[in-house]
Amino acid sequence: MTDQNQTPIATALELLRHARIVPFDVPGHKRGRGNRELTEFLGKRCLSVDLNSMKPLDNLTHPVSVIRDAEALAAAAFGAQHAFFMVGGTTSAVQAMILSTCRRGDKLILPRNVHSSVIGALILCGAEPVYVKTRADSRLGIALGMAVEDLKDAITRHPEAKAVLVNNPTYYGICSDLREIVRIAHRHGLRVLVDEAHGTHFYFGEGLPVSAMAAGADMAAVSMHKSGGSLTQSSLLLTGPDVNPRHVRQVINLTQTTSGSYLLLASLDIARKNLALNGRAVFRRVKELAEYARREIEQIGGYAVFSKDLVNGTTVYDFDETKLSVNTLGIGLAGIEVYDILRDDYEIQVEFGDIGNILAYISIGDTMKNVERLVSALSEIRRLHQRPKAGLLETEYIPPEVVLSPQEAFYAEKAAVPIEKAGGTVSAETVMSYPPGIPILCPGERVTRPIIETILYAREKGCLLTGTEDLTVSYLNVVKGGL
Amino acid sequence: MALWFTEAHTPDVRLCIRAERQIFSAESRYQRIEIFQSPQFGRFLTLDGLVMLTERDGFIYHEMMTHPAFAVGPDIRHVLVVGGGDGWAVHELIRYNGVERIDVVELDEMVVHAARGHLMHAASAFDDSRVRLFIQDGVAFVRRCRGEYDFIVVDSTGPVGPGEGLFTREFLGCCFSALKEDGILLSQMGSPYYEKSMDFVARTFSRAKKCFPIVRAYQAHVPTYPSGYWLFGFLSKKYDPVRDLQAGRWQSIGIKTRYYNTPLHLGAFALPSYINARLGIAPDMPREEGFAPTQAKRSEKFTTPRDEEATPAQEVPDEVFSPCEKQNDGISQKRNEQGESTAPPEQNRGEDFVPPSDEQEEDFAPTQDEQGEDHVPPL
Ligand SMILES: Cc1ncc(COP(=O)(O)O)c(C=O)c1O
Repeated sequence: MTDQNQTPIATALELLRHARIVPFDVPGHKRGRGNRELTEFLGKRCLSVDLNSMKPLDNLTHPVSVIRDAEALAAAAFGAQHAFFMVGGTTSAVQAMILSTCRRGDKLILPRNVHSSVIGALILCGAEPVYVKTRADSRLGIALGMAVEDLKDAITRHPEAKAVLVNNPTYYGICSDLREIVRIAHRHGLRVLVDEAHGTHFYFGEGLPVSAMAAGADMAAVSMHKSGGSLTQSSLLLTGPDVNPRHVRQVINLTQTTSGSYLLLASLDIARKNLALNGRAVFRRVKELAEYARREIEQIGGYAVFSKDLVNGTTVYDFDETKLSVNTLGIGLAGIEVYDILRDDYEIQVEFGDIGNILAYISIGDTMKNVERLVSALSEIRRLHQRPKAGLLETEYIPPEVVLSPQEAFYAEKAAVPIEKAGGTVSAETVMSYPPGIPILCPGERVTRPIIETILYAREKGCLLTGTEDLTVSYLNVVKGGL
Repeated sequence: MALWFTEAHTPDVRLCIRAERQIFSAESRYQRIEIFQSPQFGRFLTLDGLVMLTERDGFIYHEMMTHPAFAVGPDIRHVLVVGGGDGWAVHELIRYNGVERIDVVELDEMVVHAARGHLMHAASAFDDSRVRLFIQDGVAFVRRCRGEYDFIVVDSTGPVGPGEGLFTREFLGCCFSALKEDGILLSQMGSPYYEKSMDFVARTFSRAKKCFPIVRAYQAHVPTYPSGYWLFGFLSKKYDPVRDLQAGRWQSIGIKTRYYNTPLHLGAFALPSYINARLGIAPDMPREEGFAPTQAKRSEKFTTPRDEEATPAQEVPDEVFSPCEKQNDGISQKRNEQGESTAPPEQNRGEDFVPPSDEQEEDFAPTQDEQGEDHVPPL
């Protein structure tokens, strides 16, 4: 099973469609006939392959035929020992990595700028975070990669730690020295887990940073639906040679649905085929588009575009040139403001805007024509909206004071207090801006003035804040009684 | 054998032109380019199966895309034509001795090649020493210009497809910057009759109003375009096309035109009520409100367009669409003459530019819904 032209799941679905079996099983829409409006909306073809597990289609929780074969093809394509098809987003892949590696009380070394799914896993399993020093670029207002020295320091402080989790690349395309991180971690008996949500293309493109599997990491969570072209919510979990895939499967099954969507599974299958066969050309093209946009946006003036120039050998070991991140503070606008203007005035939707930056996702589906539009719109925004820089918050990275483990804090007795008045308390929940979904505050952390100010500023600028029980993000759940 | 070129103007309306033969046919990186010879319209050029110009009625569109600016702007010397690779707009422009430089930015070199080889006007237009041809994306070209032009002609293919970028706010805003402080821009806007097309017109019009202080729509009758009725935009920084018309001065230049004249100029800006209503124009008070003057503080150095720098490393065709492939290269349907009512449909299903095949429908225009509510004039 190594012929990357094959698509076992998609082929099985296709065969089944032609077999015209009489369905007395779920889903109850029965190939769409039971829900005409939905069928019209999504198309007959789509509904006719929205099926449930059955013998010819294998079973995601216990793959023995077509899903097993499709996973084997994916593993081969990604250079992994094993690949798991995930239907709960990369969130589920990240959580499966942590849940299959850490138990309650175990220590996990990680940077603070992780995705909230990581914190979620810590709440679920009771592991304790050990944050490596996370360094930031204060000009751009973003956290950087994991420096090898900082990892060594964390391991020295916590030699009993079970694993290290690396964000590689970050949303902005910042990469760490994965090979060296793996070498050091393995020497100290730590597993290496890589949140590679934004790095699917590393496995297929040329001249891109090293992928987790190639660097020898033990597990990697790969968002096929981001740069890989599969349907939203589909994802891959990859494992290396020293990981027991049967144990990982059991962990996945703790929280994964027993009715995995075949639309998602087939999309993984077909996207993998496309990447394996055409990935090199596709990502060459993506890189060219991003390069062109980078040059053109630089020429407008005022904007700072992230590029390989950031590479410094430590906290920015490498940079993913398919990423188009633009710092907007030079024209006196917050990233989120530019994000809003692009959508409201120019009918252009970018991936996200945070306090200092916007990120335009360039992918497999882009055209030069649209890149020209984006560049021109940024040029116009500068012409029409530029203002003096004053009044913009420059983000400084402040290391958190971890008072309780995320699990202890999340399940503690809590009280809701107005965010403005939460200074000095210990948070019982997460606050983050989505996207990128990186927590500003995690459960168990001391709430400080700068954190409160960051939250209020992000709220005022119109970021979508999430994570709190209070949907208006006016109140924060804190651990009762204080600590 | 009679060959019929067919273009679907809506899913329910088609225009058929009998063609004697095909003169040219090629697929460029961007689109399918064809030229036919017909008894009624002479040679005609189609892009992706849509008629762009015919030798017989092309004067209407191209005169209306150029002369109105000269009758209003006092001293037009530097002109930019975005699109217009067929050369006819340039042909109109070179008739003005006062024009010193005409920059033409055409995305698709093959259009120029086809036109020079097979269409009247094109060769002489591009051979004029004042004309510089740039093969590149118009959006990128204009972005690099600052205060250079007296007049910009946006001669695009339409709001969907390769010319899509030329209807956007960012493009129009960049044109604003590329014009001198009394500059004028003329752009085709589409047919105001069929609902889907009118939607595009209204959207373009409102975008234009956000970019220019003076935005007026004007009309002309173009037999081979959908509905035979076309709108244009007059976008200007300083001069109003009606108030500032200098009829005597234009007449004294002595340009002989077949469609355009100065009384018609005034009439062209007098629009039917249903269009005024749709565009939010008060018929008695045609001046626009709602324009927020753009306080541009530009410190960058003046950038002169240079095609070498501007041409992107590589370009792959954007969504290319050829509705005619299935129809024998655009010539289709030996059809019977009778049996088709010429009356407009009772209910306008509101779709413009719809190619004949279903799957590709979306590339051209959003799929029509059942509603026929719109501003079709009473029949
Ligand atoms: C770094 C990182 N990890 C994990 C995820 C989770 O991915 P998903 O949304 O597919 O669950 C994201 C999503 O934005 C992410 O940015």
